[in-house]
Amino acid sequence: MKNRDRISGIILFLLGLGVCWKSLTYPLGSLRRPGGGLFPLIASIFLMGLSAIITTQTFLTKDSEKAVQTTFFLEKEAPQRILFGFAALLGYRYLLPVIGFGPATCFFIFILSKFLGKYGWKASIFFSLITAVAAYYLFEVWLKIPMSPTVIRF
Amino acid sequence: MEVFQNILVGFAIAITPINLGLCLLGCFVGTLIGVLPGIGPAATIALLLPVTFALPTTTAIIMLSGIFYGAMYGGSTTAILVNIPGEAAAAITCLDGYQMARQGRAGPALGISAFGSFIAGTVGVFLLMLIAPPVAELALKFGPPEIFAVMVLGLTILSNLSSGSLIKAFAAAIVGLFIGMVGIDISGVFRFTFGLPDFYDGIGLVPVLMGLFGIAEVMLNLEQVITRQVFTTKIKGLFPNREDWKNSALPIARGSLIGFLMGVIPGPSNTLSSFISYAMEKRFSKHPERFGQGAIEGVAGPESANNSACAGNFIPVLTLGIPTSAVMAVIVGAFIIHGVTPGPLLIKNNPDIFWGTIASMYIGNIMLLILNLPLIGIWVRVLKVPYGILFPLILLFCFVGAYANNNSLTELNVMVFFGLVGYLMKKTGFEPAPLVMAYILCPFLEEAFRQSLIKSQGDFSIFFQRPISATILSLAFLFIILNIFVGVKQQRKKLLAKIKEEDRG
Repeated sequence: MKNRDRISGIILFLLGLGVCWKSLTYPLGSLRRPGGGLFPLIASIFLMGLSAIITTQTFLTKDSEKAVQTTFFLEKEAPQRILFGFAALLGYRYLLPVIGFGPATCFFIFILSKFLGKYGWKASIFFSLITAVAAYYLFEVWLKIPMSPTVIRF
Repeated sequence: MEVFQNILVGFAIAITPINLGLCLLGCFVGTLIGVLPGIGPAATIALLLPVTFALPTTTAIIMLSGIFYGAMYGGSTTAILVNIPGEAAAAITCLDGYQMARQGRAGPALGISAFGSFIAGTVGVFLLMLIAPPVAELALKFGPPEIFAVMVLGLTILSNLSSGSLIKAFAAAIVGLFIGMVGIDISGVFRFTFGLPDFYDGIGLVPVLMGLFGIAEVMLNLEQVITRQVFTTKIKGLFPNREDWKNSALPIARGSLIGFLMGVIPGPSNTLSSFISYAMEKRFSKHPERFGQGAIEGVAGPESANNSACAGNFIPVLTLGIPTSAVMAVIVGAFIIHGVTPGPLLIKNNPDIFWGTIASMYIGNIMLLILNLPLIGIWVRVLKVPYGILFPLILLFCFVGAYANNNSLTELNVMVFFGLVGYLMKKTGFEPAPLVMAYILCPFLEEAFRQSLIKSQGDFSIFFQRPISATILSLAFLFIILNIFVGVKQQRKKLLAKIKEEDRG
């Protein structure tokens, strides 16, 4: 946990620093007439202070010998599963405007149920087809939500 | 008497076919997600926000509230039958509820949970109905310094009660403020938009919520393959017997009161109230050794408390416009999306929304009693749906919800980004609730801060010179000091234990 705190503390400090720098480019005004930059400036200074405490704490506390080492991932396969999950989400996002809602949904559901849900080929194809057709009729036809328009239509 | 006249008007609004239908839908969806572990009410309400765009505000709030209190009813079913809490608030119910099921008493456990929830839910709504109007009246006297102070207190208490470190919770809240600052500010300055027109109106609430709660929650569950064993013995005799009622009457009464009081305080009050109720019942019991072995009081008290807390949660939202938890933050978002600002003026300007919602809660509690007792068989079957089928559907709903909000692909990028942020936050011990609360409150907080400074000619002492704001800020300060004191005490205890151990060695 110490390493995680150290890294998150540093990231937060950099975020605070970035916001602080950016807020100085907005009109600060005066205390009598505060401008748009004052509130973010104050908030960023607070964040830098807090992140400095989080980071410093990791250097001051010692890991006891008996402390249980908490692993970042619960299972050995977890990093691959998470990466795959986020890749599928991004893939769906970028496929949507290219091939349209129906086919993109079908592909997305198939990938998830086959590789993360660990279903067989037949079950995954069946489930993805049913879901895509149902989603198309529910959202595009019935609820009239104009999902991303494309050249290829479902 | 005015209250009773108003509630009658509320009932006239709540019993219109559309409001009744959507109240039932909300309660049904709430129970469903309560039964299913892996998706919470905050994510579901965020998911269904776009569905409410075409609905009148009152109807939308009635449905979304139904999801919230419905989830509390459903959570206990999973706790009793599977030994996994469907909702965090039902975690303590696992202890005695599952033991009762193992002893062949799943029926009375489910029954007392539903009846207790119904009684406590109704008591909670009754108290909400009586207390909210005078609190709103008092809040009308608040100026910008008081509003600023109340928001700071809300953020402080929520940060205090969030699991994990106080410093991390405050840091998350400040990040939430940064997100809330994106867009055009009150003086017309474009802030943190990076030239993207999609950000001129700020970062959308729906994609942020879908990402932080929906995507992040699914990703956390995807780390491991979830398997659950449903208690398959046939459930019979849902009505508790006379002895059960005798043992449960006082725990239900105490749970109703403690739950409501806890609900008013910012933080994960539904969960906390059920834990406090359990501890209290164990202390009051003549046979504390029965707790953990299938004591019905251990189900009745906590289940009543978490339902009553739901009603308590609505007090700060409806009277001050301050969300006290992640779910309430999403409900405030729903109000804002519908062009209504929750706060002291809500009762005055939109009495139909206020009284209609309260009246619908009475009706919703009756619906939930019916949904949870005669229809228990449906929920047992739902419990058998594998997570491998559920999670692709949840992700699909997140995508459609985030996209349908503004028909913008940028919002999908925002959602995936916040999904990653939410996942990493959970993994590094940062709670998303203070972030969401600060993000929603940011425009109001900044406005109150700037108005206070203009009013005082740049003198910060305005926050401490006015008695109400000084008292509220002192309370916030007291909470921080208390947290530090408790932390130091715990560290000291650990150190002493370590020294003792070393001496023995």
